[in-house]
Amino acid sequence: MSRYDRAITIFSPDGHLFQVEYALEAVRRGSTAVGVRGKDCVILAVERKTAAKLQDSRTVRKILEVDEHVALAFAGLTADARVLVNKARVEAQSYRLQFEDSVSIDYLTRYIAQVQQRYTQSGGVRPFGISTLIAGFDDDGTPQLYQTDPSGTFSAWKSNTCGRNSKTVREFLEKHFVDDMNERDSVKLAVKSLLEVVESGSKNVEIALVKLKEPLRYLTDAEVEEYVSEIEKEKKEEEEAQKKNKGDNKQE
Amino acid sequence: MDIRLHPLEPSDWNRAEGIELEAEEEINRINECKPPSFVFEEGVSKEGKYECDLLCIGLCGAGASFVRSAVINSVQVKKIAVMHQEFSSNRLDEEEIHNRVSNKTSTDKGDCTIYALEDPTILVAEASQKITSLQTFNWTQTLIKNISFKRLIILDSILQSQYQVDFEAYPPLLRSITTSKQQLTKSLIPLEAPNVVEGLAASLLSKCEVLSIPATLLLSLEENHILEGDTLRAFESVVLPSLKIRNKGPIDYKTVLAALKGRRVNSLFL
Repeated sequence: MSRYDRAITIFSPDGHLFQVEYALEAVRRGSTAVGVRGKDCVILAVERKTAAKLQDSRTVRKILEVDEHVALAFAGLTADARVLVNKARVEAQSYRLQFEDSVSIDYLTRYIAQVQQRYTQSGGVRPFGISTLIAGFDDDGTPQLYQTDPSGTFSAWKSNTCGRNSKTVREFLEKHFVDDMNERDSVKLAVKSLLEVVESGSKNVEIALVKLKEPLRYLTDAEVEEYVSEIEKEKKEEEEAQKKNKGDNKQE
Repeated sequence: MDIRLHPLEPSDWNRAEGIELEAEEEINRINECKPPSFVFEEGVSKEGKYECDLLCIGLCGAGASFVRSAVINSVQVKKIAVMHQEFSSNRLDEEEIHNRVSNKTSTDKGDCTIYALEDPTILVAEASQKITSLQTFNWTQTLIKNISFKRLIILDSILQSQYQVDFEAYPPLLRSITTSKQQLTKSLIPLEAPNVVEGLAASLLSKCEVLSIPATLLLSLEENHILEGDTLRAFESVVLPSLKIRNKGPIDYKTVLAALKGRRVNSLFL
């Protein structure tokens, strides 16, 4: 294996590109990011990392604005995300200048995925160690959610996750996702899925809301706490109901 | 018959010299590694040695965290000894970069603390320091010199990215390697080939095999380089009965994991 994992441009005999797979490992070291597409909104929810005591937490962001109508959440290497997002921002503005129109989410995703793929097929470089969730609205008003990964693959999703504990969160989303949810239900699903793997509390969760013709909005701590409290209350009620059912069954 | 002599190029000499230098450096590094110090608490040892039936060692990372959460923080224990390993002068060597830099969090104290449970013949050790491969021999020797045990359980973890298997594995998942004297049980699934165990776990197991001591190494799958509760939970069903600890309810791993998380200040990944 070691003979084929040092260079990005070499396939192993069984068809692996080990550097790309190692980049996916780097993604798994990043904290969880979740995207949920609702009827008229797209939610990006991330696990908020505790900032160091002397660090300005506002400069440590996992959800980034690419354009007025597009936001991106990532998991993986912070510096790689900064570079890739900057490229995407330049491309979005370049598109505006050229076509006097805002870039479509599909186009931007293809661009980001293309950049990521290019870095898997060149000598002297390494792949970007990030996966992205790209959320936004096209001009026709349809909400869009895409995911890209270090290999340069991309696809559209109704809901997805990347980073640590993705499997657990994805299973939860598959179980609970419903089409055409309103804003409240979408945010609730995003928070609920994140709380499956993150310590409970509004300080550990950051949520951004992307809506048509509205700027990207981060939910305040108070708003997040409201959702978290509601979810915890529902969980308790469910547990109590289950206990009661078990007790009833035993009596019978 | 034509005999073509391959001309020796200057690079060949350099290469040979390089290999010799490396070997010399290696020997120097080994010599630099001092054996750890072993200090018993007052009134504990008899003739400088403690005898027990079972010793359970939790190694740096998942093993030590499990011992701390499920045993030390949960039941009454009595501290009987401390083993202290000093770091070598070159701190860089300790990381042993083989394309896999272990992210096992170690304490700065550099101690392995040994506790006795209510049953004084059962000991648990929390080896929270990362021991490099050069130090493992001395460490193992010192432990065996001071603690005499009839059976050994070693708790360690294996990273998902290094675990080679033909299915997608996620925690909780437990695998084992035993010495030939250890009786096999159906509940323990052996570690599949071609996975390999290195470091202190391998050193302890090898020594037990040589001394014909029944020993079991339990490896819990670690998913993400960040220790999670599922990794620690995998040990419960096997280790707690062996230590004769009754499970009184869900074990609180959050405190220990939160303390480990706090120690990790890594701005590389978000």
